[in-house]
Formats: sequence, structure tokens, C-alpha cells
Amino acid sequence: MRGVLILSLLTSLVMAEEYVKVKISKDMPYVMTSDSGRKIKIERIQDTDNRLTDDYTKTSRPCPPFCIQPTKVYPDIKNIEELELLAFMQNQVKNKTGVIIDARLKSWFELETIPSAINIPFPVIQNATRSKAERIFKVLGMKVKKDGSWDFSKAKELAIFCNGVWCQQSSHLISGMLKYNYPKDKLAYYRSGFQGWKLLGLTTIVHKEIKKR
Amino acid sequence: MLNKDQYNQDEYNDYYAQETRGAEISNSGEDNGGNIKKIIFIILLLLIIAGAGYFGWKSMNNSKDTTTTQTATTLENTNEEATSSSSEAEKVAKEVQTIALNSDEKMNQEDIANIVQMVMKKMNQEAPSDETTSEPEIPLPVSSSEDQAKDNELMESLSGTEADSLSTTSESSVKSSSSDNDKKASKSNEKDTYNKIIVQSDTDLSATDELSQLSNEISSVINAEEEITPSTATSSTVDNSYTESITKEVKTRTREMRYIVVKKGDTLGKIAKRAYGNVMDFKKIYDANPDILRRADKIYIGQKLRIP
Repeated sequence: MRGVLILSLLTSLVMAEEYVKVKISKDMPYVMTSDSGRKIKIERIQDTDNRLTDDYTKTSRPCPPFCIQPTKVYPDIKNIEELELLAFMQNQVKNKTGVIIDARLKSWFELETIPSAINIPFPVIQNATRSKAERIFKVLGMKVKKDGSWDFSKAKELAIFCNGVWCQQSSHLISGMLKYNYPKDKLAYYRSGFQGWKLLGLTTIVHKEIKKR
Repeated sequence: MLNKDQYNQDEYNDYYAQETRGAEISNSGEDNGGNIKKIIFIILLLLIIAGAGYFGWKSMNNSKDTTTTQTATTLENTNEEATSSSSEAEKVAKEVQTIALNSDEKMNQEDIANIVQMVMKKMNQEAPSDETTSEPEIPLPVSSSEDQAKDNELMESLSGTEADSLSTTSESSVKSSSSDNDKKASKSNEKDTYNKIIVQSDTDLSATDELSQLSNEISSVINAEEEITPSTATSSTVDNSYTESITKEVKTRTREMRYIVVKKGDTLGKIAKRAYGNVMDFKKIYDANPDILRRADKIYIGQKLRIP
């Protein structure tokens, strides 16, 4: 009798453990990644009545500058969306061959961002002199040859995002990258950006608590 | 003879009620039908377990954290299980009890109807009050929280209304003092209902994994660059205006975030934790909303609070 009791308890436990109502995709309940040395579980908000209230619900901002972006900000730059970005996290980011770049200003980045993203504000690259760009690219895995030319063969793949379809910041960052000949096939543009991420109720990261004005 | 029979039946009923509440089997030394009792006991236990499993499974819809602890508690003690997630068992107990009471007195039907009416009134008022005074005639040796659960069952069985809708209305008043909410608050320190995880940037410097190292290197390079730029600032950039407008937009967004709509399960402490990273800052929010909040432990779903 005790055996039956324990067995049924265990099965109920396992049932509870397995069940995720709002999955990311059919076979993917959640994704594990890391940020700031911590393991982060990326899942969607499980409350099916949840709605975005204050965050990223604003529909209208003056255009210009907040204009709707084309799918292809630059030809030959790959477009990715959420599932590709999650796959990127699980493969490239995990194997340290790629990195997710938050192209927004630091203030945006600190408010809220996608887990495991690294902030490179777009003006940094755009305004960078060649030597600054070299230093940044070196961190991203670029090698400098003896003759001073840049070798991008070991450079990391970058998945670049900003606030979303109305946000030009990624496009600026990409243009800055391309100015210094960062290989096109190592760049990817997540157009839906942070608003798209939030709209799906995916886990976000706050790097700093909101300070009192 | 008749008296004795009645006595036996009473004892039988008492024994049943005790079993369903998960109490100890003390006076099971009856020679008549001992096996039957055992079998019934096992069936009841299985029912309880099934109920526990079902509710654990169901509460996965809300959050995973709550279920893991719930199942943990069920593992701890089957007695607790019977009391915590016991609506199944309560139902059975209720039925048995009502049958017993019906056989004893005919007045009880009216009593129950009265109680249902009283409870209905209370639910409409949404005001928490001591329920134990409302039922002096029926001997129910259980705690007040169980009383409420029983009342829900009663209403479900007698008035035909759905217990679900009633329980949600009772939940709409968020009580920060209740132990359940406290538990939730302690669990969701890391992740809230908005699915945000707060990471302290200061601790990043000590992090050793490659990603945070990379992030630190990049930010140090960026910062170093910012120190140099004033000297070479003459090379004006194309989209200073764009940068400015984006910076302005950040301010708009932070201001947007300064209003918060109270959701199910929120307490001032949790909101403060989310906004400032410290539960004790709930006083700031409380002071900023004198027109909305009259008591710090009473907030309601849908209230729009200023977060200073």
C-alpha cells in the first residue's frame, strides 16, 4: 500500500515538473542560457490572461526619427527572429563563437534587455576611429595580422537587435560595423527586437534597478 | 436496542469524518467490517493523492515555483496533504456529515441555507471577517481557512453556483498579510510575474564566465573611448539628433514605467522589489499614492499606482 502511495505521489510530481502551458515552440518549453555568470531560464509568461500594460505598449512615436524599418536594412545581412535567436543562444553563444549584441544606448540596455546580450551602443561603433574599432573588434575575436591588416576569420558572429521595428539603432550599428568591413555573413539582424521579445512574454533581464529621479 | 444502534452509527460517522480529515486512526478496533474500512481508507487516500496531483498540475498554469513547493509539502506529510489540498476529501467529509446531520435533525437544512446566504453576503462585500461565528450550531472541528473552503463546497453543492468564479472574486482582494502571499513573495525574489530577472551589474566584475568577461572588456573599451572623445569631439557625427531623441525616448519609457497596474498576487513589497530592488521601499510607493491606498496591506487588482 505504501508503495502505491509513493508511486502515485511521484507520478504527480513528475507530471507537475513536465507541464508548461505556454511553450516557446511545440517541442521547446524553455531555453537555458546564462547572463552575468548566472544560469537564466528563458520561458514565456505562463499567465494566459497576461497583457503588456506599460512596457512597450506605446504605438506612436514621431517619424522621423522613429520610422518603421525595412526587413533588409542592408542587403546580404541575414534576418533572424525569436526561434533563430534562441537557437543562436544555444549554439553560437554557448560555444563562444557568437554573441548577441544590444545596439541600444546604455540607458536602454540597463532598463531591460534580452538575456545573455552584450551592449555595444551604436554611436560607439559609428563614431569610432580605426584604433577604437580595432580594440572593440579584438574583444570580439578579430585578430590583427603582422602587416596590420585585420583578420576576421575568428571573429564572433553577432546577432544584433534594438527596440524593434520602429528602431533604427541596429541599422546604425550594422552600418558602423560594415564601415570597418566586419564580414557580412557574421552579422544577423533581429528586426522585431526587444518589443517583439516582450510581446511574446519571454524572460528579460534587468541589469540595474530603476533609480529614483 | 435502537439507542445502541444509533450510537454505533454515530461512532461510525465520526470515524469516517476523522479519516477524511487525515486524523489518526485511533479507535479502529471494531471487529465488524474492519477490512471494508481499510479498503475504503485506501480509496480515500488515493483520492486525496489524486486531488493533490491534480491541483499541483493545475497550479503549473500559474507558476512553476509554487507547484514545486506544493508537491514538496505533499511529500512531507500526508496529513498535511489532506488539509492543504483537500477539497476532494472535504467534499466527501461534507457529504458524510450532511447525511449524518440529516438523520439526526431536520432543522439542519434550514441552517445550511442560512449559512449559505450569510456567506453569499460576505462574498459580495469582499470583506474578510471571522467566519467561525456564523456557524455555531454545526460542530466542525477545523480551522477557519478550512471553513472557507468548506463554505465554497457548500455553495457549490447547494446553490449550484460554480466555486471557481466565487474563489476568484474572493482572491481579487490581495492580502499581503496572508501566509500564502508571503511564501510567494519569498519565492519570486528572482523572477516576478512580469518575467523579469534582476541582475546586479556590480557583481558582474567578479563573474568569471566568458560572456560576462567579454561584456566587461567591451564596456571598458567603450568607457576608455568616451574619455578620449572630448579631445576629438570636433568630428561631429551625423545623427547626434537621433541619439538625443532616443535618449529622450528612454526618459519617456522610464516615466511610463512609473505607473504600475496591480496584478493578481501583487503586494506593495513585491512591487517595491521590482521597482527599487528592495522590499522595504514599499513605503515610497505607499506615500506616493495617498489617494488610492488607505492601508499598506490592501491593494486591489487593476489599481494604477504611481511608482516615484
